[in-house]
Amino acid sequence: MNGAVDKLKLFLRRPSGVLGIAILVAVTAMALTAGHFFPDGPTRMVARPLLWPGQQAGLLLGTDRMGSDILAGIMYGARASLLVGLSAAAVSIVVGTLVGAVSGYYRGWADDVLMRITDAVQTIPSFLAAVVIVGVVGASLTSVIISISIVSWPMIARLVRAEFLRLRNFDFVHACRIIGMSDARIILTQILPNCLSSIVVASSVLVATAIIVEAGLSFLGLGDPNVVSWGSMIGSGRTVLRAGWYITVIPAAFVVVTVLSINLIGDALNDALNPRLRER
Amino acid sequence: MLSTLGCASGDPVTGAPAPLLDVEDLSISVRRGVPLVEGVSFSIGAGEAVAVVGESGCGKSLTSLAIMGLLPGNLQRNATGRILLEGEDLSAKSPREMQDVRGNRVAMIFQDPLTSLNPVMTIGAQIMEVLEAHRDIDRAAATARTIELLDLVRIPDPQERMHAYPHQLSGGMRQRVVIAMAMACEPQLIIADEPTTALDVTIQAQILNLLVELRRKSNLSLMLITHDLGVVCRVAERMIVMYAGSVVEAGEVSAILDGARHPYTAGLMAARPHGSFKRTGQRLVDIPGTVPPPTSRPKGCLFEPRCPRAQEKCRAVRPDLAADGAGHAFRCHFPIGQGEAHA
Amino acid sequence: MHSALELDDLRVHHATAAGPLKAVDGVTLSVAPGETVGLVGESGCGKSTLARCVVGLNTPTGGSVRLGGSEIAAGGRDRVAWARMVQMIFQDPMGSLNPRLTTRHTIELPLRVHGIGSKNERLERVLRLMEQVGLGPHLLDRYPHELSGGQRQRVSIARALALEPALLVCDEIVSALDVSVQAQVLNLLTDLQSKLGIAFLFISHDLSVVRYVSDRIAVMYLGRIVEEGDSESVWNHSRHPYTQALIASIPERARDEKAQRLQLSGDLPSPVNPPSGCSFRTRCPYARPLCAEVRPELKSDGLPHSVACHFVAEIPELAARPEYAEA
Repeated sequence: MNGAVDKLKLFLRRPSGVLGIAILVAVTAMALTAGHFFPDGPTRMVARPLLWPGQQAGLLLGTDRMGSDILAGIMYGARASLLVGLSAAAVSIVVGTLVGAVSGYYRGWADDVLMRITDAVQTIPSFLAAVVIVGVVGASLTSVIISISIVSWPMIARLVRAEFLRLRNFDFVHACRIIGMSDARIILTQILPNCLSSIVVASSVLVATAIIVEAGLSFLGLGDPNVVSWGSMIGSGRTVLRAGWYITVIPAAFVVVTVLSINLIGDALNDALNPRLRER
Repeated sequence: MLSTLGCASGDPVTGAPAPLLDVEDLSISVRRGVPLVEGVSFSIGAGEAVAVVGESGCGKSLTSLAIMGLLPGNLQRNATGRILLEGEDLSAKSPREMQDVRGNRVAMIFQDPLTSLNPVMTIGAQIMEVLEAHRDIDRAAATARTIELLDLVRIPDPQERMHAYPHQLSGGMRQRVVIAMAMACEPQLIIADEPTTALDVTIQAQILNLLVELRRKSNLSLMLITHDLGVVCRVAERMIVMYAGSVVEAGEVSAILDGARHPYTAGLMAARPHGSFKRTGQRLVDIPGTVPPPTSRPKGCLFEPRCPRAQEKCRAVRPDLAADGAGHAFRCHFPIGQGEAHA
Repeated sequence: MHSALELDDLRVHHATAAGPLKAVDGVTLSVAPGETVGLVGESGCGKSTLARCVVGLNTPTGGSVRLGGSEIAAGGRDRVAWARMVQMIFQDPMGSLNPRLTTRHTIELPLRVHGIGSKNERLERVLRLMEQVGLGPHLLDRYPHELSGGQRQRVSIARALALEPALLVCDEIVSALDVSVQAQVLNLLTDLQSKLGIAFLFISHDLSVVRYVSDRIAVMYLGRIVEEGDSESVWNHSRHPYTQALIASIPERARDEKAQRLQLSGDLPSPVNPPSGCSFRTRCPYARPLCAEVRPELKSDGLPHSVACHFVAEIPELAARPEYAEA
């Protein structure tokens, strides 16, 4: 589709979007190559604990309380953060789109029921809910992903519903019904493609939020105990904050930069995909 | 012919007084340079009703916004063009002074009465706001004047209705309120941009009657922007036909509708199913093609690509606006002759 | 042969907080095969609701819709069968096309939904339809935003013709277009009428436009038909005061004094609480006490066409064009 090429050009014209992509690519590369550079995993003791960055050759970011290489932790942690962020976003998008599409297209009692459920979930403070769910189910990567998804799909559902309410009244949707198209086909092939850009933009926020929530959970010790993540590294540095603040600051900086890059991508996507803003 | 309906028979322009509004060589372009309106000149006399006719994109609304000093920020006027109100150059005025001109001397009515009214204020309060902005007037006098204005535009029970909110009124009533607001400070000129397009046929007739009546009562000048030749012939004495940013024909309404000289005007008249022919076996005469966008206007005559009379010269040379003896001007190398039947 | 469309006592009442809103309140109307019936009325008269019932977007609350002689199940369960009978063209040429589909895909869509033809046959069919509505083949892969208003409306017409329906419903299809483009579309419509023998239900607020394309005209006011008959007869010998007001409101006509006397004052009453008896009586210059009590039926006693008015015998007829009244 020539439209897609135009949109890509528009996206690439924005330096902030390109910067965001560059950072995200770098973080992804770190996650993918972690096993290659550190085949023994992130928790092996490699040197004396609490070595400052650059204090010993070969240990670029120093060591933590247990004498593990912080660089290894960061690279393995990128895996956990990205995995949780992307999976949670994917689950939320699927659930939210389904709920939003059905309530927006059919309205009536289906809409009433689904939207009350959505409201109910939205009133729960999301981080607390995640804490409770992980606490009950037990800490594992899957439970963290599920708990984040449970609290974040309503945002997508609301967005998709609003788009469907708007689009279902367009005459082209009426025309589809008049030519005899089934509801499912109208929803999937006619209306959904027209709200894709909004969903894409919203999902970037979702990924960023999921990374932060995961970090928060791990910081509180509610993450998967067998997985090193940026959140758990921040948590473990807490006790030695005075003596070795770098142990906390380095993973925190990675969280900040990664989330920032995703937000930059989201903004650029919004500008490229939203035709009303493009006019200016 | 429209004129067989007893259409427009305004006074001939004999020894007309100095015009109220004089637009000279107005051009409007996008900042980077694509001209949207090119070299538009016309004048409106005191108490005269002039219609500006054309299809979407012809520049008629931009021209009116330029007069009001309300052009959007990404558009600019040419330096040589002038807009004179009673001989005063409006482009020399500061934004503050223009605010004074708007409302006090020139008022504007837009197409959609719902968006030109504030939904959270009563209509009385909105009219009073206009009065208080432009006049040194106390509360009681403003109230009395508001009631008088609502009565002027024939809104029943003005004392009651002034406390109504816009959504409580019908479309026709809302347009009456908008007209009352425009009339509040007794302007000399009202610019009405498609004032009846959003209204139903029977309501349109009421509003047009009201405009005709107001003009008669208060010697008001009217610049009526419309795409509808029927509306023109109901309200205006003179008309200006615009096409692709330029004036292509101008003159008295009766003269033009009786014998349009420019093929575009003739085409517009033949294109509408106004019922002046028997249905069986008749076809509307359509104008083939579409209006050229501002970025690709032809070098020669603007109408040449769609014109049934176009010849070699039309492709090369853009014609000037030339007038015959009776003040009927047209921009065409090969105008339709007088007495020649339309299309 | 069966009528293309038969509406029998069609009613659409919506429940509102203030009582039932009677959008359509007992309309009986038929369209013969190949005939064009014009439905004219102002906003809020129920003409669009009626159109939506005919194509199955709205469910009538009473009466019946018969297409080609067979009654269609209320609720529109059989969307596919319905689609072969009737298609619709809309007012807004931009909104009626999916912005993500090219001309080719838009026109092909009905054929794909109904599983007609192979890929190549469908393309051939699309090109033939485009030719029929006056679209050049170079527009095949254009998106709606790359087309002009008139071209978009032609794409809509081609899509509606793809399934070869017996009836085409046109809802205000020229009112969003410029005058010159409007003429192009109206001419195309009259060409299609004579070539294809499709029946049309042509809905508009503009009596002149309706009269230009229609064999018969029905005038609607507050959910009911008030005058109905042969197009020239209604145009030149209108008898119902509402039709006369519509004619008298045509701006060219509005200058003469007789017309100004016939113009309406006031606004349309709310369809939630319509006036008792004749719903037009609140704005009618001829209204008498009887009108508040008894609702007049549509009848044609000794008239060339049907009128719903108690005092039709006393109302002088009005011609839209005085000089053609005798013709």
